[in-house]
Amino acid sequence: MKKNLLTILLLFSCISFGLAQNRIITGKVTDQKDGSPLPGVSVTVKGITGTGTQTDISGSYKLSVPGAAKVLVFGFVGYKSLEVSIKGDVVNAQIEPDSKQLTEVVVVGYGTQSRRSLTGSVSKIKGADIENIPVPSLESAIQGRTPGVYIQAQNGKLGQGIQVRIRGASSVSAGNQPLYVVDGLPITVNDFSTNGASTNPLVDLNQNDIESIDILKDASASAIYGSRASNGVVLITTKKGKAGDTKITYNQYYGFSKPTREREFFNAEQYVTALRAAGIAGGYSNTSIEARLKRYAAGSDDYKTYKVNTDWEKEITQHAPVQNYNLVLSGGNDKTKFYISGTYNNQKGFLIGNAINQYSLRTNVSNQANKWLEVGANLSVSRTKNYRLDNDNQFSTPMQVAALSPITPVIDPRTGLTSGALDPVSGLPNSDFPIYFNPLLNAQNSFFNTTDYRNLGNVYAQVKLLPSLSFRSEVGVDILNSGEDSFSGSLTARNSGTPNGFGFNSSVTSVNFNTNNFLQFIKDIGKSNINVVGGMTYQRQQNDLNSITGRQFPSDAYKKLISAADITAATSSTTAYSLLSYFARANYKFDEKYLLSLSGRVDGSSRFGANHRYGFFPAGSIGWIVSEEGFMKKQQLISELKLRASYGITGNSEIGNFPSRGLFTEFGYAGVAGARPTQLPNPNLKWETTAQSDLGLDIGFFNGRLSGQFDVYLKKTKDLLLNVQIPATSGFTTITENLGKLQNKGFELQIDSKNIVGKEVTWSTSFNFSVNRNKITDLKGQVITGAGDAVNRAVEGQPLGVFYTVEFAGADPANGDALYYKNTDLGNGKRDRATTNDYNQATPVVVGNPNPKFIAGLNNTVSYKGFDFSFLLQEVNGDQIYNGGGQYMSVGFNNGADNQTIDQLKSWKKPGDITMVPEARLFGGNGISPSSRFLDDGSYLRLKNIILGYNFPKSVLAKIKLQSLRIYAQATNLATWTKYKGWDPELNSDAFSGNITQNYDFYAAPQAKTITFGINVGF
Amino acid sequence: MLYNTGCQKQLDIKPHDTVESDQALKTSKDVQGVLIGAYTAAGLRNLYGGRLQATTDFLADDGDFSYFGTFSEYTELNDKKITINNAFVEGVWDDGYNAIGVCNTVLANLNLVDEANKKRVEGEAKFLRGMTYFDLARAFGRAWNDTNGSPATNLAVPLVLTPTTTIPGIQKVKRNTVAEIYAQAIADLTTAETNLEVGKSVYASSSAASAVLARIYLTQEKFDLAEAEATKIIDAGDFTLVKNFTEEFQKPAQATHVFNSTEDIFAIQISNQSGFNALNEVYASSDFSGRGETYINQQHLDRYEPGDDRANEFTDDPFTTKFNNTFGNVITIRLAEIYLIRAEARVRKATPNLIGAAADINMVRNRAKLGNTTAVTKDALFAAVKKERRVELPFEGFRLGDLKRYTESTHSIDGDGNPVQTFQWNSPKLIFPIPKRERDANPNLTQNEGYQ
Repeated sequence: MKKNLLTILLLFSCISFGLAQNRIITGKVTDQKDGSPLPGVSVTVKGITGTGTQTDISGSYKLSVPGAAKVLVFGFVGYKSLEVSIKGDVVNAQIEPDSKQLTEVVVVGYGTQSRRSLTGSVSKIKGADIENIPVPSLESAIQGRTPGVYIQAQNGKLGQGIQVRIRGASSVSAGNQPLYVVDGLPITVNDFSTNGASTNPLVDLNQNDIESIDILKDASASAIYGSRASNGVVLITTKKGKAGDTKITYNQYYGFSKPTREREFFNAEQYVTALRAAGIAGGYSNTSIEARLKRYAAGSDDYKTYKVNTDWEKEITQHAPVQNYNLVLSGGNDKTKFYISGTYNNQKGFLIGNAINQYSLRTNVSNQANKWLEVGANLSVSRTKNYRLDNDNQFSTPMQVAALSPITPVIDPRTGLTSGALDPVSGLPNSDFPIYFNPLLNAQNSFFNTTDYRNLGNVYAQVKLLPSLSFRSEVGVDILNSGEDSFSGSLTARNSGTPNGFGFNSSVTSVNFNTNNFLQFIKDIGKSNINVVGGMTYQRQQNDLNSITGRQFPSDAYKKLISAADITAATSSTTAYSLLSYFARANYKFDEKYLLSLSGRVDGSSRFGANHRYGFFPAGSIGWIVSEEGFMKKQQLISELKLRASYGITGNSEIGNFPSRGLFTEFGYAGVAGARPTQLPNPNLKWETTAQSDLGLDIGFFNGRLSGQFDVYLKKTKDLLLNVQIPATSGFTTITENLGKLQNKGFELQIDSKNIVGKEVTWSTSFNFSVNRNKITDLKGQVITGAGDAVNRAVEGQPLGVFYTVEFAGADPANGDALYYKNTDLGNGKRDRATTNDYNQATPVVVGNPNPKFIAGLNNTVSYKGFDFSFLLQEVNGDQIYNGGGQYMSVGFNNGADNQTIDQLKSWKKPGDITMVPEARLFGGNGISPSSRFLDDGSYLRLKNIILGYNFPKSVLAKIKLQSLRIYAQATNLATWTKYKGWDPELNSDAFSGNITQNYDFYAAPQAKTITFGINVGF
Repeated sequence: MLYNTGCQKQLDIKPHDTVESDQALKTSKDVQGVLIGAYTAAGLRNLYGGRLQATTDFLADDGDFSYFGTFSEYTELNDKKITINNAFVEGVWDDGYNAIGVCNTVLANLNLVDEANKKRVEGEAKFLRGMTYFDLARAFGRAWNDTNGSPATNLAVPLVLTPTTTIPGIQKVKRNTVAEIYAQAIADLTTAETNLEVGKSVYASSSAASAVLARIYLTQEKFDLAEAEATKIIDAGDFTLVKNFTEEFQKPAQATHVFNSTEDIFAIQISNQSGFNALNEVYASSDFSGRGETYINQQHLDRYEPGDDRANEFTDDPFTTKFNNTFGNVITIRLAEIYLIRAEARVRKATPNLIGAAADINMVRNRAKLGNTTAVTKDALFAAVKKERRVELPFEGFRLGDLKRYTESTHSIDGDGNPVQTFQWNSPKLIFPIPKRERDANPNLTQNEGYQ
């Protein structure tokens, strides 16, 4: 595949074609390694410029050379160049791979570059590494595979938003996700979900169609994307056809998933015993406690004998099969190449009601129309249906089943129906049994489906204007239609608040148009190589939304809004933005040793006022390939050595489309239209900018057997686009202003080792390690709180999202009251460490950090004869998690009769008890306020992926007339090692997560552990 | 290159869903639209949409109900242990000033309003502003009758009378005194009373302004003035008590909008299309779209005399059914309260009118299918008024003001409704803290006693 990519690359670049004919030389170029023909090899005449060609699909070439020509030079990226004397009319060549070169080709903005001449910091992930991994979205598949990229799934619900941070969060209020570009087209990544939990538009991309993912991390690499590059850029390149016989491959896997972990709660006996004690301590009479218990036990006395002991967590899990079928046809000839793939993916979640069902098709075609024109198209269509769950902050979300009492039966014996379905007396849905709304009722009586129809495509033409100058034009469009359809039946009334059914339907059409038009100039002048790209790009995205809400359905059999007697809301809205940009980049290489790259981009955005509509984002970098120096030739140990340095400015404008304008919004008042001001104008609003410097070192030992990449960086962001809190007495509470600074600094390393390179056995290891330190350096004294208990804050001098709350000091041995450290500032950096049981007397302090100290990944690949084996370990270390659900589930009934986590058995019982768990008092409010009590270590080490495969030998394949056949078993998230007491340490509550609210657990569903068995067949 | 020239204007994308400020206020109709916007602001969930009423009632309650819900904000209020982060308290402040800001926007653009409507528009905006200032002053400042300091020295809330339209225009204001805020409220409401028409309206009327003035004068113990304002409403005869008490509160399934009853003097209009009834949310059972978390205790039910029709306002569980219509209006002022204001004023004024007071009390009692009050003395009639307010007006947002006016005490309760801790009417714990968020944004605001 790599050769194929190179072919395409070379087709795009300029190789001069013959002019003066004296004689014609023909020949064939093959790979010394295996004798296979090499297409795309450049053939030039030594000492004579302007004469040359390249090999065709069969490795053959035909070249007219002047009579004076003596020697032909064969050159190919990744191979040693070869000089062959011309003897006769046929000159064949065998060229050998150059193990000394950094042979990898990386995709950069508006072009490609060899790793060797790269001066920026780019991480590459090959598509082959993430094929057939059963995760809903590609980000999960690349987790742990590359340094500097911290990926955190929100939780284990299928199709949920995923957070990607490249070299840390660069903004407090604006977006922190990277820019995603597919085949040159920035794609739509908006979250159109309306149920309070985000969805991930990247699920529409089929992992198996991906050739490579290149992640631009430093300013030198990313600044060509200007105002959207501060958070890094992810370039996704889809697979292309390869000249030769049409290849047909079929991939299929089947498997199942389970939750990675469970959290332990009280059983019936523990619940009854503890609730009785807590009731007494809370001032309740025995009668009222027993009445309460009996109510939770469906009016039965069974609770006294603990006869009913429901494990509610089991009740909300289901058998969760996953299946995936993928058929690919690819091939072509030297003029036309194609890639066609079709995939069906069907995955059930382990939580009842959760599933994702997807069809996708992709066609990539290219055609060399004539010597100067190449055209092509990359098109995909997909349909993704996501059977979704309510957000983590709803009684109806499956994980909140944990709050139900273990003494409550699943089926109410009084009615024979699911507990909570109908009150035996009133005939209406139960309003006080079970303790809360039973999420099982939601699974049985409601649905919330999101269906995406996505059409992602672009067409391009590349024109060779001069031997060294070409022009490329790309026009692309990403059309996403995302619709939501939901219905909640009458039995969910206690949750929906509507006794006779509730329906909602919405549709968003997002059209994202993009065009890139640029010139590329490549020329060798003596020892100098010049590569210049420059052009313009224009993008416009418009989202049109409609939605309808209704209630009052004749019965639960009627589920569409046509049957709703009462339409309570109907709306349509439109929003749009546009971006007009000019960019240029010049790469200069001298003598294969000295590298210089300069780039710049001017971005104009509709999001900013006329005063600051345009921004300029320059970057520069230098590199020195030390190993090419004469003094390095004498030694054998170090085969590669390159030093890199870069500096540049990037921007961020992910702040919504109209933050700079003063706005009035319509509000209806019982049928009469009114309006009121909702936003103050800020005509001075401008770009948030990040200045990033990066120092890098690429080193290889033993002819490339062992290689490493090291980077240190410093990213300083200023003019933060901040949602600034203003006095509410102005009539407004926030404005978007350029205020404040933050920085990220860090260190990344990647080490690759080919431990064993044998004929029968190969073993390679890849290790990556990254450290990022985030710090808010200036917020003008503001404190910005995150959603969900406001324990996550943005505070000056601290990392973004730091846990800032009252420090818990355990239970008062004398009376079981929750104690807190006063932490009153005494000056001199000292704080009053006396304790108090009055929460209001305690001063909040920094108690934890949701940002990891480091992240790491270790990948091993072993092959032995036909077997292949690989495993990937992923580590996140040094972060804390705040359990926002702890105020209900881990407080000894002090905030209600929710079932409690097992650690609550250790609560204070009698004077003198020394414990960190205050006395359990039913509704006593003892220790329920936000504090470090609910903070926990979030570090984890995970066996992210493990695969064992077997490739059938050629001898067997010949008999069954197949090109290739592989069977494999695979497991994702098979094992997790962590001290976190909750379900799973990789989390962010989907109801609250944001830039500031990080590592905040609130009944977040655990990740899926998925085991699959698959087959890959080549025909 | 193809797009170079055409694109400059392509960057000028205007909002479609909203209107830019410089386009929003150009005509008389625009300003009147913003006046409607002021009603929507006043009706926000955290203000007269219901949380202003519920938060103050929860703080004042002495065990008439128990809250077993997951809104820790209500739990804090009911326990009289408000934290400075309490989001509902912050909501009262934020939405209060939002409503005031919209009123100020209307008033600052009165010059655009045509002459035919100018006085009315001014009156309605000043009604909303005056009422809001009075209620904010009571929630965030010491009571008028608090002798710990005086209204002239005790701090209430900042007085803001002009709209903020630019970022440099954002002021870091200081708190004004209780007396200053009351004076402004009275000035605003007096203008409203003069400018508006007497009688029924879904919008602010002269009668509604008289009603709030009556409340203010009663609080200031200016009983003659309070009586006079109440009498203006009663004598005009525009409003009558609804025949049956339970019919005053809209019941489901009235999915479609129902305008004010004959008794309603001012109500926040809610429909299935707009508005949010936060009293339904906190008080109604889940069968009626509420959260079913506020359980009425026997202590409250015992307040009703045998035969009191108002005792039928509870379900078996028991929840109050006053707010069972999730799309029902939030009644802010109704005639029964005006009778009870006048009764109290007549009892407490320098030269009491005890017969008149008894007659006013009996208007309310008789509607509840009870006989006339047996009270005759001044003290007995005062006690009768106090008692009547607790059964006629519970959950409607009156209790905290009443508690302070009567210099009574309240207490927090345990799970079974038994008293835990007593709080005198002038306890700092019965005053909202200035929200932390606000003080972070404006260091010029001093905090109330007992909060950091």
